[in-house]
Amino acid sequence: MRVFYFLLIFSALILAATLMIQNFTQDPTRQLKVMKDMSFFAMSIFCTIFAIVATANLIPKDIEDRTLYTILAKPVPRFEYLFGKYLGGMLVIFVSVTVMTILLSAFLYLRQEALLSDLQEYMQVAEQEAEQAPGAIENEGLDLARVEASSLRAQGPSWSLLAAVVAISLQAMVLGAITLCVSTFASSGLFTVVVAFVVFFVGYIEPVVVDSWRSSPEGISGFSNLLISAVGVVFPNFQSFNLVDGIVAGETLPSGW
Amino acid sequence: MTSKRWLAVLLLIVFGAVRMPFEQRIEAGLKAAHFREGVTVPDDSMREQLGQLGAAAALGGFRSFLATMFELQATTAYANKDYEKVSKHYLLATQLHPREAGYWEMAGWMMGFNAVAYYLGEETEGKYSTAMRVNLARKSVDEALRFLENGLRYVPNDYGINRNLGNLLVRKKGDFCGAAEAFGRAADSMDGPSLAQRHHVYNLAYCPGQEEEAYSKLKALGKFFKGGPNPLPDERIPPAFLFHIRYFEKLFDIPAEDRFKSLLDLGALYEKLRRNFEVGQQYEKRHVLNMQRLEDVLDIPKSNRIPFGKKSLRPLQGGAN
Amino acid sequence: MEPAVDIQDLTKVFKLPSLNREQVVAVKNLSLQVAPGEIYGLIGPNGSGKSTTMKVLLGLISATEGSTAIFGQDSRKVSSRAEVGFLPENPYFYKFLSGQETLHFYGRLGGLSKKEISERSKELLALVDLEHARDRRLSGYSKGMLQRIGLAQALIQRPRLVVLDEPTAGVDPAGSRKIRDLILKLREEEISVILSSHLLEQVQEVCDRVGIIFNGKLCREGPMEELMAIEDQTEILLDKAPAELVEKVTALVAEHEGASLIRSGHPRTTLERLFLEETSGDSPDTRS
Repeated sequence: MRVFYFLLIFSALILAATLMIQNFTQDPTRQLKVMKDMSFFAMSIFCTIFAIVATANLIPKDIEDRTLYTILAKPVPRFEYLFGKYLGGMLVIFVSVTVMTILLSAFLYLRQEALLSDLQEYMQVAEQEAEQAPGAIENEGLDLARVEASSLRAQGPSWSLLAAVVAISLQAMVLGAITLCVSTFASSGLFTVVVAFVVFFVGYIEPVVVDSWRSSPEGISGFSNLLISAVGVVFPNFQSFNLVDGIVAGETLPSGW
Repeated sequence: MTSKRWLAVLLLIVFGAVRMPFEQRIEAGLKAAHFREGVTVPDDSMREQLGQLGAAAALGGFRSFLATMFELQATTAYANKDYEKVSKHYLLATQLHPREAGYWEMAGWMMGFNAVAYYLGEETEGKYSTAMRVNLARKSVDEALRFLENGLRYVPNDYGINRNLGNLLVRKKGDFCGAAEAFGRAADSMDGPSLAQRHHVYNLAYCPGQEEEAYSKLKALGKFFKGGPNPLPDERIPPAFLFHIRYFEKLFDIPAEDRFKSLLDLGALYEKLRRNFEVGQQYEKRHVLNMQRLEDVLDIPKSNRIPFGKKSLRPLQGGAN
Repeated sequence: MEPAVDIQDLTKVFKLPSLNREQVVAVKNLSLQVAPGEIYGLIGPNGSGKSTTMKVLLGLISATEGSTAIFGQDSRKVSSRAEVGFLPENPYFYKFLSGQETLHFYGRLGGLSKKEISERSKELLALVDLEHARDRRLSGYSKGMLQRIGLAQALIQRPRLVVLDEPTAGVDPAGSRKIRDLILKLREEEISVILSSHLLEQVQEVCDRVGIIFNGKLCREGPMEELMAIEDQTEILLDKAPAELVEKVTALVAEHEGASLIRSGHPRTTLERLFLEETSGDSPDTRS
């Protein structure tokens, strides 16, 4: 239940931050980018932390309270119990992410419309001015407004934004599953959380490190290559879920994803 | 117990081995679609600026967010007229999110125009020696150029970067050929006729060796002005267009019937502009060239021409000053 | 007929999570049976292996050796749990659920339909006397109420066997009595019960048969009357006997050669004595 209060506070914070930033930058496209950056930042942080912290204690708490015994004493296969717990955690994330996405899309749409109508007004005035002033159809503002309008249209709510949201959710799902798995044999909740974060960071950083290593002039020795493969086998590549940066910059998603 | 543990390890390895090709394919796809630009291990200087947490965040999918934060700091630094910081923060923003054209564009604008105006303006008068102020201004123009040119490596067809580059080259470097190229790219990024297109042609008109191309492009512009269902009335033909095309018509000895038809009086324009001219004032190179071209077109005798000298040029116009 | 509980040569060894691989034998070669409809009491001091035995029986932990079965079905099978209800020692349920919701939750786990659950939970809330608290969250329940909702939860899918681990631990005497009455009601419905307790008085009151477990071994087992009976003694329990009658009986006994009156007065627990006899002899660790 507390998650939803948290969510509420978080969205209020995003909104406040977004409104505040509008005082800093006049560039309309940038305003929308900031909105998206903030929201995706909040979403990623929420999903990552929630997927780890909330899942880490699901099973240990049931064991500690002996609720686990009453549940497993019913005709419930263990797999079902684990899967149910997992789905429960994921459902909270899914609902939160859905709410956040709807909020973001709505804000983004409203802001985009407002900015576009401002631009349209500006363009009309600029055109009138250009027609009245002799020898002055050269109007830099008109050019800029045209470019701005087309980039503004590309910055609104879109399916690719949804892809970023899906990627964030999928990442949370993988992370949640890993955490749940670790929590079944970990001796303490702290241990679980630490292991999960380590897996997360290794999975995120390893591909980048390897990449820059590979492209370095010295290259990689055979043994190091083996080591890298071993790390790759154990740790999932979380960079695969990192779409936000590209999507905010307006890249189109490759078909394979 | 132990056999179960081995089974778990085995499963992990098998799953990992199955997973890896998929991950590699996704990674290759994302790389090809520019999703990975800016994702690198931060070098020492960058890490120092980002801090440990920032470096981790940069790798952890928050590059876009961090870049936004740095741009915000750059804006604050701009408000405080601390251009060293402006440049530093934009450097971070562009490194973190190189495919976001806006950062390159703004960085180029800030360093190429705002910083230069500050260093050459009244605020720094007396604070530094003139030579030093010019030097600082020149350095920041170079920085701006670096930003814009680096930006073009990531987003070559961006309107904003190319427009700023064109403006910078012509106004702070006196480089008309380079500016023509940049405005050309900016015009190509837009649909239909644009001011960028005209800037491309006007700058080309001052680029040595490009006279024929400049003339043919001017002719095309003329067709655009006078052709179509709504030809422009004479008084709305841009004067810059007119004196450029007249110059080339004269240069190439174009017969009268093939010349651009316009009754606009360039002489009146010249007289008006000339009244605003003051000896001892400094002008941008493009303005000086415009006046000289008008004089050429109007056949003003040498003795009557505006006495432009080396001192008439502002700093950073491609000259030695 | 299949025994409700069949435990054969059960041994459970726990490996302690330490470097020197210490092991603890919790249960050793334990065999016992509970007949259908029987109430079986498992008594023994703390750490004697009662809970372990029950957990193996319920398939919550695996046996090191031996086998356990419920109505002929191996405990390791999930389906064996359809026939059994379990109330663990000091259970905590989800605090944010109400009594009604708790029963609903466990009913779904037990595979009941929504309709069955609403009927059954009505019955059970009446049975455990919690109708007044059905919509209250469990965080507001007293210990005795929690224990009773636990019992209701155990009974939700009409199991033929109920396993109760210390059902009255920490419950006040009045609450404890309510639970005892409930167990007696189960007997009426011919539900088998296996319960562990160290409240011996209670075990004595409700159980048909008891087993005494100590250090993981079943030391003694048998029907209640048999265990309690002291072969060469006879107990006469009189109801509303006037003092003169008691005097007469005493005199009669004195007349008979070889016989003597050991004690007269009100009856007392003897199970307690038996318990102590069995568990304090060879171990100093008899705290309860």
